Amino acid sequence: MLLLQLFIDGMASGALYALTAVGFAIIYNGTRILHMAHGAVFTAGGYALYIAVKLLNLPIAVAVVVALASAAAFGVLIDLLVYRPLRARKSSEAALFIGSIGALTLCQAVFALIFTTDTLYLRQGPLPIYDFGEISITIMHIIAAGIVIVVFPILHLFLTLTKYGRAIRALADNPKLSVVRGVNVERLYMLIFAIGSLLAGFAVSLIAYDLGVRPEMGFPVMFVSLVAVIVGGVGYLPGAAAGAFLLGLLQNLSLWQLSGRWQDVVVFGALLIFLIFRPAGLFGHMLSTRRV
Amino acid sequence: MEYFQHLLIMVLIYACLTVSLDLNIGHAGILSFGHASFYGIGAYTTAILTVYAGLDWFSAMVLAFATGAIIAALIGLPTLRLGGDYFILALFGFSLIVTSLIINMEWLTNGPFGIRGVPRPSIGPYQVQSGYGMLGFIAIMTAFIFFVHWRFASSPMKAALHAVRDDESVAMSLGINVVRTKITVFALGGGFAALCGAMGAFYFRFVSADSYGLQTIILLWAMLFVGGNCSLLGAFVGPAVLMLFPEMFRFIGGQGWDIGHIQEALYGLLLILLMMFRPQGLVGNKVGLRT
Amino acid sequence: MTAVLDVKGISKRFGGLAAVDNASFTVEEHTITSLIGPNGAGKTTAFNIVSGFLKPDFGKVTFAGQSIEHLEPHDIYRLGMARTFQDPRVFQEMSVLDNVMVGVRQKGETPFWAIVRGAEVNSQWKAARERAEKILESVGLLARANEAASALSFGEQRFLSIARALVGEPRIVLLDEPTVGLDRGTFGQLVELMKNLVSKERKTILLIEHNMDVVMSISDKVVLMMQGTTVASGTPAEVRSHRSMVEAYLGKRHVAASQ
Repeated sequence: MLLLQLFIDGMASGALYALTAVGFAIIYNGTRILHMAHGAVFTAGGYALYIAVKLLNLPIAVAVVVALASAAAFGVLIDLLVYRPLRARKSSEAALFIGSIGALTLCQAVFALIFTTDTLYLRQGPLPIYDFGEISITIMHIIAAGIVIVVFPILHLFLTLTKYGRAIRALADNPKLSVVRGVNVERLYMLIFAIGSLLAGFAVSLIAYDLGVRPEMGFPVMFVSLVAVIVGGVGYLPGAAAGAFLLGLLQNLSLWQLSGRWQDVVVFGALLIFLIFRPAGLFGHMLSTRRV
Repeated sequence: MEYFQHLLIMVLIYACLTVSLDLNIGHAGILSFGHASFYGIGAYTTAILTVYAGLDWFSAMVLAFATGAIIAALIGLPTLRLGGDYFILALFGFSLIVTSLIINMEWLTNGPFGIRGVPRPSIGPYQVQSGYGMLGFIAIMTAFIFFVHWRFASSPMKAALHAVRDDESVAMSLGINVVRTKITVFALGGGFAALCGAMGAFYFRFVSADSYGLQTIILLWAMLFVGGNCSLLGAFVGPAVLMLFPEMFRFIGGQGWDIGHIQEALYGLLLILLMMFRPQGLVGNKVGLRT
Repeated sequence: MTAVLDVKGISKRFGGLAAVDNASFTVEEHTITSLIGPNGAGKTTAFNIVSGFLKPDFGKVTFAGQSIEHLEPHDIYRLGMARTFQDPRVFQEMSVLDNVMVGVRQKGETPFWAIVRGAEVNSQWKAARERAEKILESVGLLARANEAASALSFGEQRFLSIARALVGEPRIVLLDEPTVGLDRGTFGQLVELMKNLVSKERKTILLIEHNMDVVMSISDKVVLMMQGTTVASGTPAEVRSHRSMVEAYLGKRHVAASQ
């Protein structure tokens, strides 16, 4: 019974990781930027929700829309202010990565300066819980499942049916293109960052409402998402989602035998094992790393 | 005066860390995110060997170097053949695992409380006690480490490293064993970072897990890129600027603001601006960042 | 004449496609052998197999009596085989002289000897520099030894890459389309250089070349590859008279011109 409970918890956190992981993967596949600042985008969404709920007293549904829009805007802003100038200078991927680390560090510090390092809570008291024998399911489990069931099919339809969605996929196949299906790539980048950040916004809305907001909350989530992308296989979005569920399960099922403080070792141990023995991930094809 | 001494010692220790990071990143193009972990591994090895095992400081320091180098070689063996982003991630994961292990392996590391009472170095009957004595010790170690790195950068080793960094296939076609070169230089970086850890442990007489985590990695990268790649002078300039710059805020009086966060914000901003306007660093050579 | 390089029945598949399919040829010492054939015939893949960058699925490569098909590129270089790539691929930010010196393997490039030095390390290093300067002189780049390689023109970079391959004093040099992209003046200079390498320096050259005038004028032997396999080999005259092959590959115009 404990195992089943852990399985359900694992699927719920897997769903949240899947949202950030697929968001990260869309950005990585299209731009080849190791977008560490995705963590800052995530946190920005959390603080936007906090402001909307606690300071502006907006109804929660409106507040979530504000949080989603803020996350998307924040992601686009980082692209415009950090990555675009670097691209314009033909910077190397390493320089973009360092710029991204810089953006993450800067944002975390600014959040800490504005909001302090304390956890800010959006609600009090226990959440509604539905008990089925020894298994209990919270409202958050249900919402997480609901979001994934609604959002991923919409995303799939967007990427396969619309002009812009197809352009994003074409760019992922060949990131060196400058014009894809008549769409200017710089503009496509904005769309890519908006969508990727929007997905993170969904995840953070749930987590922030449930557990509160802290300046560095985005980092571990971003990092697990990144691991999920690797485990699932770079270049294949369902792979990133599958990797996210796998990691969510792994994290929670490891609680069966290990205490929670070993979770980092479990997750990153899985990363190292995958990188060493199956760098292509579960489903993906590896980026070519050696040229003759 | 004592505070000035402290700052100077910190600048020297960070300069040693930066120059060894530069050996990996600048000369060999190995974007190591594990450097702070090797620093921590060296500090903990020193503390455990001296405090728990009662070993003398010099043997502990040598063993710290060896431990750092061996662990770096072992982690580099499977990961260095991975491509750029994969390698960065693998080392990122490695560093988080190291932090987690330090906190969780209480029987060895005393967990989150750290290890206290690391002895100061001694030479014969003379034990280094005063701040000046410690400054002298650190300065001698710094001179040694910089001498070694100067030898590397002024020998045929430099050309071989740069060849591997710039074009692995061509390097291979010219008889360079690329895999062995990369593992060797990565192990050296790990060893020297661990040596810096030993220096820090002797100075602070205390080690704890939170000194060797993500913040330290970012600080080290910022120091390297502020100073500039492939430059011994840059390895001094970066740490000096980043250690002394925040001190100004103390005097300007950032009342009510958390100095630590202002510092972090500045590091972040500095990294972005450097990448945009001066990727070669303040005094680095003409070569920009590549790979 | 003895064969210094003996390639026997090598094959290499990528996915389902056979890039090289049962190709065999030999290269005799102190000669120039040209590998010719249409694009996609597998010439560069054969080069990559011989130089150790690719492991063949089948077949043997024997160099100076030693079987090398399982060796890594750096080991093969140390046995005395050097190669260039289709692009010059010089190290852009190194000086011209440093570029050449990368080709010299020496004791001082290992960390321990880099620190300790000593007479042997220093004399090796000095010898390497002298040899690099001598080779730069022979390709006409000595005056620019201290400039960054990126300052050189494309043609000069091509010469630099050849100098870099020669500095380790290999027995055999593999040159992958060395004349592509050269103007008329440097073109003639390169042909002279290759002739001198064989006649004066007693080197052996294996060449991939598309320019038939070069092939016919300097080769001691021509090997024709088509669809991954070697279909003919012999002196330029023999290959020229191999009429169906000449028509298929060289085109009718050449046949007419040669009659």
